[in-house]
Amino acid sequence: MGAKSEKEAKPKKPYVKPKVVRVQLTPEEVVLGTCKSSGGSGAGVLCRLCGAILGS
Amino acid sequence: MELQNNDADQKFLLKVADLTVAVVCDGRELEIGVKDEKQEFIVHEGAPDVKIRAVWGELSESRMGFKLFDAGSVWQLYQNDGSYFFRLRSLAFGDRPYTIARFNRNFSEGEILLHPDFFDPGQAVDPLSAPLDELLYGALLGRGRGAEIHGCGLTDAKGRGHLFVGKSGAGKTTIARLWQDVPGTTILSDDRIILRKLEERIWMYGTPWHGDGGMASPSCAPLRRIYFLEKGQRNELLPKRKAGATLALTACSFPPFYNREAIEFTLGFVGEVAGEIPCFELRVVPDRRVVEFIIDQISGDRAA
Repeated sequence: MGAKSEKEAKPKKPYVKPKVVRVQLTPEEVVLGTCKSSGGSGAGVLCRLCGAILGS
Repeated sequence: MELQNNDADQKFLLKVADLTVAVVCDGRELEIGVKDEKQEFIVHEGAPDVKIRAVWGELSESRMGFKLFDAGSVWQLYQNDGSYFFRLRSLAFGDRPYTIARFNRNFSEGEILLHPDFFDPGQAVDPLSAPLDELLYGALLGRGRGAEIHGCGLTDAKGRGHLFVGKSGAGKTTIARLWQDVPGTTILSDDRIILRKLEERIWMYGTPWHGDGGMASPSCAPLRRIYFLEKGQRNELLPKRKAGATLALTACSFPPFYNREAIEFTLGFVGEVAGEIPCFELRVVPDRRVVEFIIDQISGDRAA
């Protein structure tokens, strides 16, 4: 009985309508579709693996 | 799999986030090794979690089975009869794969076939060259072990672990460079951090997969705070609620997209991290003042 009263006394959180949040992903980045720059490659060097510009 | 069969075998042990991968080959035929910052992650003892044999070979694609995932230009994953096959190719070499790596179902054993046409015979070869090493660790982490996060991780002079999360261009390497010369700071990575939960604590580990700053350390630290990087007019720290932090952390993680269970685990784990570790949106002006700002903020927090 006491527990119920305590529960009733607790203020209810206001309802917040769920919403869809869109997240911007870079597909080739999230699937490891480009390689990481390796040390000493230098800026502007094209990666021979994936064609990405390294050191930028 | 017996790794050291004869005296001619050559071997290295790569240890990232307390997960050890042993790569062995016949040293009479193939010389293996790792380069640059990855050398920091080579250990000389320890029981391997994964055992791999590397060999030269003609790469037959006939037994790879069906294509499970295609990442685009660089790699594809196939599955056949309980084995996974990563097919790696380079734009520079056309469509022919330079490496095919086969792993068993739980990624505890594997074989890497290297096509001799694509490697310099006079140089040591890293059979786990990018992105295969990261793909392998992603597979291991996704099996209940942790998650890789796109972030810069560092420990301050008091050993507190700070993780700055953001995609390319968010300012991770800039943050790392600003902290680099602060006494007592260790930069674990300026681009990729692994999170694991061990003994009821969330730990962050450095990885060899660094960013433009080339910062990579095999160290680890208990994680104390997570910051989601945003560019700002002034330095500001805004608490982030669990739902928003989970979403932001998920968007900056690298789950193995080809495996439903691994994605489920990663989402759950990332939510757990966001629930346990204080998370903030950090609006940053990229100069040295942000370091003092962070230290002041955490010093004023009694829980820290």
